[in-house]
Amino acid sequence: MALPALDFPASPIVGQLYPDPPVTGQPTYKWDGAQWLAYRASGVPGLTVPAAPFDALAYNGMQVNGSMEVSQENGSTAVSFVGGSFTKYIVDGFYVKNSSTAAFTAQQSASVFYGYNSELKLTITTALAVSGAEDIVIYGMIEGYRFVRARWGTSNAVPVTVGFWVRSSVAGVLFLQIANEDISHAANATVTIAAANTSQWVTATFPAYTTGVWNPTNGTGARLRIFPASWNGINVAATVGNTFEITGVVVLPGIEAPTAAQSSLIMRPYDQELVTCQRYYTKTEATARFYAAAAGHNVENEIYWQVKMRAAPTLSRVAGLQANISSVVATQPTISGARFNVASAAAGDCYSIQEIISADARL
Amino acid sequence: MADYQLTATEEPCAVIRTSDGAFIPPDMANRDYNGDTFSPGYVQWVEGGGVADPYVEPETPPPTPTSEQTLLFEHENRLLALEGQPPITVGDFIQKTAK
Repeated sequence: MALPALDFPASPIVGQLYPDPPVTGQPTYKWDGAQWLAYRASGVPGLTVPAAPFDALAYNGMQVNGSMEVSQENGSTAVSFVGGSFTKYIVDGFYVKNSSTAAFTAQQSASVFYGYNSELKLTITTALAVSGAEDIVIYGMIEGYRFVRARWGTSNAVPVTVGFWVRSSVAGVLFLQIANEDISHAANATVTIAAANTSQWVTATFPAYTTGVWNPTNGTGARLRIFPASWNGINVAATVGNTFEITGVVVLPGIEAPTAAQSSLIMRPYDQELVTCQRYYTKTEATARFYAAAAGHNVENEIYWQVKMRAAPTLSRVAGLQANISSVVATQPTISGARFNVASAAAGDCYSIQEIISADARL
Repeated sequence: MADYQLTATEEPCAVIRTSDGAFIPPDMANRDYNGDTFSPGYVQWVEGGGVADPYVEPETPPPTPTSEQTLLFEHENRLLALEGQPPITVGDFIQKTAK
């Protein structure tokens, strides 16, 4: 049987399929912004793309903690954003920046999306009548070692496809951006939230970006920026009580995105995602107990991180129990560990036990 | 009090953020040390005219006497009491006998 002649559209848009709908026996192609690439080997109508290739692809998704399951610092505690410029990590891998007079809370929350445990949720507490340039932005931070496979900033750059679940009190155009470390270069895209307060799987393909400096090592490789309130799209902060919820974020090299049905099936499991997140932020326990002959006697231990960190981290003491201690400090951090030093306040039993030390090497 | 305090007499060195006591290593890849325009770190703070509090040498704990020194110290104070002199401290006694 002779195949139908190919007659590609003259002015395709990124992500457009041809032929659409599929034609039996004929491959399907997808426009990546520069060329038509084979998308589906057999265009049998009704035949969905097998999950297996997406499993392999998505397991190497460049995003970190796209399912919003890992929240080592805040747990599910809401973080309050008041009017003014304020930036704070909410879950691992994702921080929120408020540059407006709006106030809201942001937190990891039980997911309203089928197939996911967790989501990132914003709830507006003080409204913003008119949105400005970049009022509320969600950042998904991607290290250079992860994003380098997209080869952005070179002539070999490939498109990048983003997908996520979203549920917003405000329907309309949602502005997206992938920017480099200093945001001097950025690729833009939009998705349309079709209906308010309705769970929706959205995808967008960013054309290959061949210019600019995109950190290929342990710096910020790319910032995925999602704009719940901006002049380029919706203003979810328009009314008190509005919410904006997302989860299932995937950032994939190429022009393919999983379907809504596939999306929750291809996310990395929690245990694997936790290990990935610990490269950027971790908490570890340290203990020292000894009998001091006098004040000022020291005991020092080395503490180790669960995985090698991205950079020498910032150290903070989160909690712990002490007695007869004049000082307890964690110092000299490296990508492998740090020194933990305890000094006695007087002679006798002294201890600093179950000290929780946070190590922060986030982007 | 400045926003940061040095942990050594010369830079680059780790700094302590005074707001939360965090220990920040002098690693240019650490965003608390070297941030950016969106999330400034210590380097940006200094570039903006900030001056960190100087390093403060930790207090040296008083010397711990040995058993022999304790015996001699008590003996010395008994002699001083007989002479009508005020007692001396353990630290002073150890310093005196070390000379």
